[in-house]
Amino acid sequence: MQATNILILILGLGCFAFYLGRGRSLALAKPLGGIRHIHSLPSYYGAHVALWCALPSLLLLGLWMIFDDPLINSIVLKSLATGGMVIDASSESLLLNKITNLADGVLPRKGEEPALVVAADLMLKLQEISRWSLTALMMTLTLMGFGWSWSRISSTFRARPQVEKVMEKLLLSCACVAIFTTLGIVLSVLFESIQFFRSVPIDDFVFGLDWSPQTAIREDQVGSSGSFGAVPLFVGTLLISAVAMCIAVPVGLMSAIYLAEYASKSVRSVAKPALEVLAGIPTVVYGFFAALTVAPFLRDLGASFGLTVSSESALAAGGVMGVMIIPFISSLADDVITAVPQSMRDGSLAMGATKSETVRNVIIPAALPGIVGGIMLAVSRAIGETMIVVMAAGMAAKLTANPLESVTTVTVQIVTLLTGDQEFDSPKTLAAFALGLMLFVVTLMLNIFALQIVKKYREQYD
Amino acid sequence: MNAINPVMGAKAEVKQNLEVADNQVTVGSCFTEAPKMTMRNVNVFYDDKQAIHNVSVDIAKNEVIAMIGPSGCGKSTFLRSLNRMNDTVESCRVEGEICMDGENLYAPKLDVVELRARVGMVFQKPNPFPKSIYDNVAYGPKIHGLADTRVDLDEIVENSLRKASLWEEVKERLHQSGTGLSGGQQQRLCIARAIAVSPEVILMDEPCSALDPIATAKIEELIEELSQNFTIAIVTHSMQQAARVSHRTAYFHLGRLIEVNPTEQVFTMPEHELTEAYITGRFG
Repeated sequence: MQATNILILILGLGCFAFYLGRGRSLALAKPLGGIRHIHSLPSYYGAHVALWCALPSLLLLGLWMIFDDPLINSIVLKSLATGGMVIDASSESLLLNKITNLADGVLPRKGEEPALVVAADLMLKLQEISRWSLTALMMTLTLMGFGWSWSRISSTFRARPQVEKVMEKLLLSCACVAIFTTLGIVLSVLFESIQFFRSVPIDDFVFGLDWSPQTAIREDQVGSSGSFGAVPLFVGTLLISAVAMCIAVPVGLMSAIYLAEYASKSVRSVAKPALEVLAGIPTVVYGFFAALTVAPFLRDLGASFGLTVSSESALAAGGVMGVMIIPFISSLADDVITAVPQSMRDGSLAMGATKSETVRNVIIPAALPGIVGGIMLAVSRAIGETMIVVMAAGMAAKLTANPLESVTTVTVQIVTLLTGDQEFDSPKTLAAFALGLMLFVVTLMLNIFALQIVKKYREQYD
Repeated sequence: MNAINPVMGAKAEVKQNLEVADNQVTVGSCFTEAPKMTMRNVNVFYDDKQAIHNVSVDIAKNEVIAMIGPSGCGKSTFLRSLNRMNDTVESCRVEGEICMDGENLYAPKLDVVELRARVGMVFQKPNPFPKSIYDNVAYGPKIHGLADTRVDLDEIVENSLRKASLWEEVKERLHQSGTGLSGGQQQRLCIARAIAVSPEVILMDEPCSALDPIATAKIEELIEELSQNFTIAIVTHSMQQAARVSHRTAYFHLGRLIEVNPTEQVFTMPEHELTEAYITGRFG
């Protein structure tokens, strides 16, 4: 039987077991005078039986699916080796691929080496055995689990705490999925980066001032030795982020103050969703808005003042990115400003302070830690933002602090390094992982910093 | 005005009848000579719900007037309309005439900021700003420009803290956070903050309800001292407190002002049967 079918069958059996278990506890409760006389609610008995029914065999299914293929593969390879075929590590996966394709009928069997055809047949047979033994084992486990938990049902059996315990484990395993995914991403980036740092010294990368990742593919190519100094990229990223924050922080903060303190209910009910629509616009749309509308406008505006503005200026990309971040800051700041107790406002107003004096002298200082936390989160968003800068910022890695010039960012370079056909063992491609790792470390530190501040804020008013 | 009610005789009826008539007239001595504030036919509404019905009363200069009554009777609402703190509640509407020194507080050209500097307020829960003790007290003088130099400001802060009898306890740590003080100290800090702008009237909205008995006793002592220089209107749930600190007591019931009389009289010989029922603890 296919794994999917088994899965559906087991889940169906679980549901069935639930009703059986529940029914049995109800039957037990009846002569005792109602469900208040048994230890747990009938649904807990049902859940207990269902869990015992389904969980062990599902666990087995999971383990089986992990170890099934490698085991079969190694048996097949071993049989090939005993058949006298020479197998080295590099041809192993190629060979296995071929056998699998033969077994699945993707490749025609005619004209293939007979040894491989035999191996393919062996593989098919093994897979068959594996499937049937899995089915048999799972059915046995299910029935055993059912029998065991069924026999335990009695009026004094404590089904509720047992089910609670399983629920806790279930929630924990869900939380683990997120954690392990993060860990996996970090590790994969880390390993690729380590490979990169084997060919490029780490201090050249972290402190190098020159970025031109074109390496020679052929021996006779000239002028492309490749240098991997990440500093210009990070400076470009910081420049664009700084421009973005210069726009997002004041505008976002002030709109939050307006929404939280001044706006009447009706205005707020319109303005808040409208601001949040801004957050819903896909970044790629912001990207071509920046590239096609804002950048030429800034260039022409600069020309009329006699300034040379690059047509892919940091100002255009950063400005549009700032607009994108406005709702992020305004909604976070709105939350913390609303969280400042009304008694603070009353206290200040009763002293004869005006509304803006109250905001300036009492509300903002009281909400400051929360606001700073929000800004920090926004900064890490700006640093990690990709689409806008890919479309609107330049490609040239220039080390400059002038926002009118064209700069490039870490994310842009990662995208250009990894798009298209690439060889995955040259330093050029591996550099992308090193950049990703550094970016991750920077944003992680910012996030930790922000969370610390937010935490401190919470302590103040709880 | 029905002058002297046969209190004893009315007792039996009171249990059944705690409702008040729409044409209820306030009994007792509502009006004084040389009043600081005068309220005439004040009605307060939250949307369509009327919270205060036709209240007319005077507050004399340098007197302490206590407002008592069961929960939800509108005494806090009434207090908050005296310095227009109700403006912050969107649905709230005030009708009638509230005057201070003959000036209508609800006149369109009146400056609310100036009014609130003249009528200070202390709240139920101590609400010091999350600033230093010094900055808490200096807050009002700073926004109203009462001090030209740092020395002036220091003096105002010290005087206010002394008047609030907090100076001795905090003079060593003026620059520590005001929120680090105990509840009673925080409330006295709020009083110091209120008197730092030298208001003429201080409104107190259950200033001791969040405090322990010792802190309460200190605040009550303070109210008595303050009454030499300020006019004080205090809302309280504690009848003992009203009896201890106030000169006159006003009894509110379901949004109506039932009786205003000298405190001693209210607690010994109340004129109205509802007042009598409340102070003897038959409801409330």
